[in-house]
Amino acid sequence: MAKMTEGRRDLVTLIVALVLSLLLLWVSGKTRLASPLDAGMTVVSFFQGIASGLGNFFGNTIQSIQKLSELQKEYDLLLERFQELEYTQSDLTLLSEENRQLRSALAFSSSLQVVNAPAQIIAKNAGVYFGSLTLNKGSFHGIERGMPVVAVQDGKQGLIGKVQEVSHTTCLVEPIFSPGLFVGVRLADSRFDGLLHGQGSSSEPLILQYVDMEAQGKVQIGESVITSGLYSRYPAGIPIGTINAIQSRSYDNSLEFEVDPIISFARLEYVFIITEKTIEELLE
Amino acid sequence: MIPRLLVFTGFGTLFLILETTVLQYIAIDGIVPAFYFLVIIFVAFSYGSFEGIIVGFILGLVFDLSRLGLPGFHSLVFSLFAYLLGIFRGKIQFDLFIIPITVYTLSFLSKFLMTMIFAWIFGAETILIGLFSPLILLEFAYTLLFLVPIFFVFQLINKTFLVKRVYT
Repeated sequence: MAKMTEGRRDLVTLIVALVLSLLLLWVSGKTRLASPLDAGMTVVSFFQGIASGLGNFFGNTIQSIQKLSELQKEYDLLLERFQELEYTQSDLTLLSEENRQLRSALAFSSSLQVVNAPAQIIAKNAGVYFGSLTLNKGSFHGIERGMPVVAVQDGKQGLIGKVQEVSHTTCLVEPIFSPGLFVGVRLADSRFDGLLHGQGSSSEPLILQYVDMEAQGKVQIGESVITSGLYSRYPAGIPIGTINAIQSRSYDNSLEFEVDPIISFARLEYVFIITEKTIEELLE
Repeated sequence: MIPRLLVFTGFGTLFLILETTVLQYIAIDGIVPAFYFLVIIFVAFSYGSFEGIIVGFILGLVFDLSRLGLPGFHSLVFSLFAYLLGIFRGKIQFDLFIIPITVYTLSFLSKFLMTMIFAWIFGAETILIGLFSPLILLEFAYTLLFLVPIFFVFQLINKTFLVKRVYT
């Protein structure tokens, strides 16, 4: 009798859990006003922020101790260099003035720069289904769904992905290596257009498809791939990667390329969310 | 029962949060061990369907909310999985190696099948692609490495703190 009651209780609990899950799926899929999703993301990302902060704190403390002795040596070196720099300061003033004049001559304006919001990665998704990055900027900071995300690494700018979910103080970014994210791209030198997507892992190359057969023989290994700006919110000209392999099959009516991303996702810490288009693009 | 639920839900949630942050330092190709899944297996197998469903549902929800998932998808999969696994409670007892490894392997396969079916039903293409990626094998193997020590710790916690003692 007790066993039968227990079995019934289990079944009722299962039904309740399934109904709740289906309700969540329905709510999140039907409307963007899915406040339970936003609230949940905010709560979870709060704890992710704490865990990330603690991890960084301990990691940084250990690194700081190691660097202490190196800093002493560097300090001595810097003291010497400081004196040298004092001599070059006067030269710098002259160069700055020259630079200002050159910028003016080229009609360069800082207002043409893409408006962006710097953000820190507080969590990287682990797992095989959803490649995503959690950033510490959300709707409170003016971030909206669909905004492109870029990063600068080793002095090079590269596309990271697109904001897919936004909570009050955080957002989730779908990276370019996700198989579900398609980016309109252009080959920088040969100017052929195509569509780029990932294979689900940051260690695997990106796939560039639907490039006209005419490109055969004109595209070289190592050629840069940039955003085309066509049919999407990605501004044109953001570097993505370089061609590392060309695949051409006789039965295909388009070419396919493998692209190595310019940005290494494994050592990514800070990114920039592009919040507006350039004035140049708006004029177009 | 409530302390057990709190303890293991807490463990699972902590693991899920650590997976996306601190545990990234031990990630191989972006993959970290799925400790949260071991929590669901242990609870469902040791305490039965009822507690398994509750823990599975909560951890599934945290899983979906901590990444770019479909909210409700994994709570659905884990609840159903825990219910089915809970049926075997009391029929087989955990030992140190063989049973945990066998249960984990079969559980992983069941989860794979259930995820595949539900991903197909709900049209979750990204999940389907992920399921057939070689990384899923990496996740299986990487989690397997930690299986024995984690289950040992869980059993120790269970025996030391969570099982009612009868004094004669």
